[in-house]
Amino acid sequence: MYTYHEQDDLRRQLAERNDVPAGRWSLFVLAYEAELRSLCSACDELSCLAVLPSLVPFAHQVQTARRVINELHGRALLADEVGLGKTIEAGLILKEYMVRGLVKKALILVPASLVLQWTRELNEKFGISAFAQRNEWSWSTYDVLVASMDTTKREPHRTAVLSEQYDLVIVDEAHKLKNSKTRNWQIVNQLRKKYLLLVTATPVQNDMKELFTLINLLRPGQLGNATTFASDHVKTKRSPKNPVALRSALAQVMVRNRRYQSDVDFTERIVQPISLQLSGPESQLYESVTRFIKDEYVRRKEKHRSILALITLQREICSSSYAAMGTLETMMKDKRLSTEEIIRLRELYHQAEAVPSYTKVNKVIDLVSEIDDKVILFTEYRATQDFLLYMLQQSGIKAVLYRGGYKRGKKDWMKDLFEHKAQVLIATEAGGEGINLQFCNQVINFDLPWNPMRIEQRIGRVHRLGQTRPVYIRNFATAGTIEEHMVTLLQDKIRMFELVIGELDVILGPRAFEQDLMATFMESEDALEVRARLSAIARRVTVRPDGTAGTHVIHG
Amino acid sequence: MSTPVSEATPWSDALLEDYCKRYFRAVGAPLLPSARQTLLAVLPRDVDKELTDRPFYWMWVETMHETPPETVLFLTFRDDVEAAAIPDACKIERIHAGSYRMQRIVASARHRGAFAVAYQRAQVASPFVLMNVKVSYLSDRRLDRMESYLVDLRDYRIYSEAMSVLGGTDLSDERPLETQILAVPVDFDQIFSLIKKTVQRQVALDDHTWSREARARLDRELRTLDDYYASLEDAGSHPETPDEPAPREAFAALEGPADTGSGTEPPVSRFSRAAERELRRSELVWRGEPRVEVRPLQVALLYLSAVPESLCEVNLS
Repeated sequence: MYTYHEQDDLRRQLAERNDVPAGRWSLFVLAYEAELRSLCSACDELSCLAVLPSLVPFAHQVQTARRVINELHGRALLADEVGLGKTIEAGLILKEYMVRGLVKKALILVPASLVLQWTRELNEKFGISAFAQRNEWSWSTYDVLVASMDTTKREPHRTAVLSEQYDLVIVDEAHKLKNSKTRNWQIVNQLRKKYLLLVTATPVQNDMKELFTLINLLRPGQLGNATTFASDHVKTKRSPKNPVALRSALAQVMVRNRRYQSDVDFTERIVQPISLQLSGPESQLYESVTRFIKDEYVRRKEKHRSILALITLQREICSSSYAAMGTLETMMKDKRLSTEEIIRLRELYHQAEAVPSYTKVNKVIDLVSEIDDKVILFTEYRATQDFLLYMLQQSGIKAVLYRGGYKRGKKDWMKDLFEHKAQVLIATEAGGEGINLQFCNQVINFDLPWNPMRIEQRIGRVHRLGQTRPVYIRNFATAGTIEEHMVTLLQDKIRMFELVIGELDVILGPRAFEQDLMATFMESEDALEVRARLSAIARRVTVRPDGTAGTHVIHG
Repeated sequence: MSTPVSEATPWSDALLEDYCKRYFRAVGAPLLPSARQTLLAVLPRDVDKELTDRPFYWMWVETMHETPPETVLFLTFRDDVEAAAIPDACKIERIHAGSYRMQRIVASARHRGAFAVAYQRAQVASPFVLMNVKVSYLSDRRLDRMESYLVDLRDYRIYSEAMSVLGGTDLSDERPLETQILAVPVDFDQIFSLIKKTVQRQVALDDHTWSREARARLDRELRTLDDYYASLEDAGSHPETPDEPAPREAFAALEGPADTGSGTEPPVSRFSRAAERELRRSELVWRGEPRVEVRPLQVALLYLSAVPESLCEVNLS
């Protein structure tokens, strides 16, 4: 029924003292009291909260930690929506297991940019002596280690980490394990671990298969094997056959809290479209580029050639002429193009160069002066970013850049500069992950990504736990362009900015969304058709008032 | 001396303060006058080493034969300490159950309190061994309890729940001059094995529904796992390559290989399915197998005038 183990440490220690148990009685009593207080009781409540008086978790976080420990037995996918504090949940579970004496050695695998942040949070918020992995010896030296996934999967670290046994492994941004053929997945699969927490807000990005791959790490067989999963649960790549059955199977391994269900009182989001009318030359440039893209789109589809560059160009021309010039230049170098096409591209390039003034940029300068507070200006493109920095500086506005490519130290420095010295932070999309900027409450979307997740990540930098003021979001919408349609779709139809991604269905991958948009814009005859097709997309992804979505939704 | 805890009551500020006060007295750290609900303790070097983690500092001090001033700790057990109450050159530390300093104090008390020899003030005192044992029921969860046994060395009778009475008894660390001690040889091997046998017997009498439930859960998990791998054998397919027909995508160019930096590099040598299965099985057993762990934590040699009246003898038959 059970195995029986006796520990002989005390006998050995006594023998080392020649069987003389010398010591003070008052300390003996104190030690006994300390032992009594550290005993693990049978109750299901979290005992770690008593030792973390400065941590005040939300009810859903405590509930999640309890559920993972008591019902899911420590192997779970934490898939809360963005902004609900999954890190706190994972920290609570780790701390609780440590307090209960069930976890001593733990490994936290995170993207490189988050190693220090995780280490700091575990130490400061949870009183856990966690260390950031530095070298080959770190693996065996520290009990609680935070390491970058990319380092871990490389030799000599890989061999070192595989020779250890971990009571608990936490993988943050676990959607990076969606493909079982990658080294990421394989290293996590091969690690020897007792408990495992996978943390991600987007367990499915593009394909239901990804969900299967993640769950298989936690509990092989929970969703059957790949073949039975495909036949029992998969209708199309992105929609389940029987959501109720899948939801019930997932409930044993996955916790997903949604923003509208949580007790978190987020401050208000005030969303404002900024309507703009392009100047004559700008408008002509936009029209010429769009016409070129449409022609190319048809031609390339017939030849089954990649249309990636076209999508990029279409999005760039909505951002700024500067952003589009880079892609135009690259396209001109394509040897497969006919002379006629190259001439056309060159004309477009010169037309872009000749634009005399920039309506959107002028508006940004007006707005920033008017707001007179910290502003985060988001753009998708580096060219636009550099251009904006130059233009703001010309108008005497202090601004700093923030990019995904920056090293951690530089990112922290830029954040500090923004907090203390500059008025504007110009960030590209990649810069969105991993920084918290609650001290700012003004966001301007200079251009919009076509991916709702990324929009949410942008806003999530400021509109998160800890923000005390209402958050103002301004979206640029230039009349008569795709951008205007996008703003209408995301803001009015999906109500993306008010109710956030939580109201969208994760199972509908962002990439599918992008593709649907491009097809809509390219294949529609006129603005009327665009609007009709966008309404259909919006209906598909928005939820009903009771919180359940159409046929797509899955939540634990 | 305050009444010792008989069950795991949660820490309160008052309990923490009382505990720290008793600890500093027990380790010989002088307490200087300070405001209410605060403690100002001067740490002797040996205590300092246990409460502050700075091994290199001590290595330097001892190598260089330095005599640095003693560390003074200022601990508070309330939030609203007025600035005037904070002594110069002291850092204020708010103590709570999980604070670093409290953890060190508890660890130090545990380390120093594992053994004791103590005497009751009486004309004649005879020897007893007191042993505290932690019994843990473990599966993927854990339930602990403490057993406290007193062995009378004259007749080797065993009494349970000894700390509930003795914890509140004022015993002396040195033999009182007027107390005569009965000399009886102590065989600790014999005592350890006797206590272990007693614990084992008591454990056997417990309700073990927990272990049946844990075992059933583990068996279920193992079955799911075995079924899964058996189904792979039958199908002959690889576990992670579902053979679903991929719908023709209009934007094939966008699909590409796995992105987000998750590594498009060629996979390293594949972990064999059999090895994977064995690893998963051993993890399940490691996590969920019901087991009982018995860990003697403290042992004391006590000289008492008689067996405390309220203690019950353990019946070994």
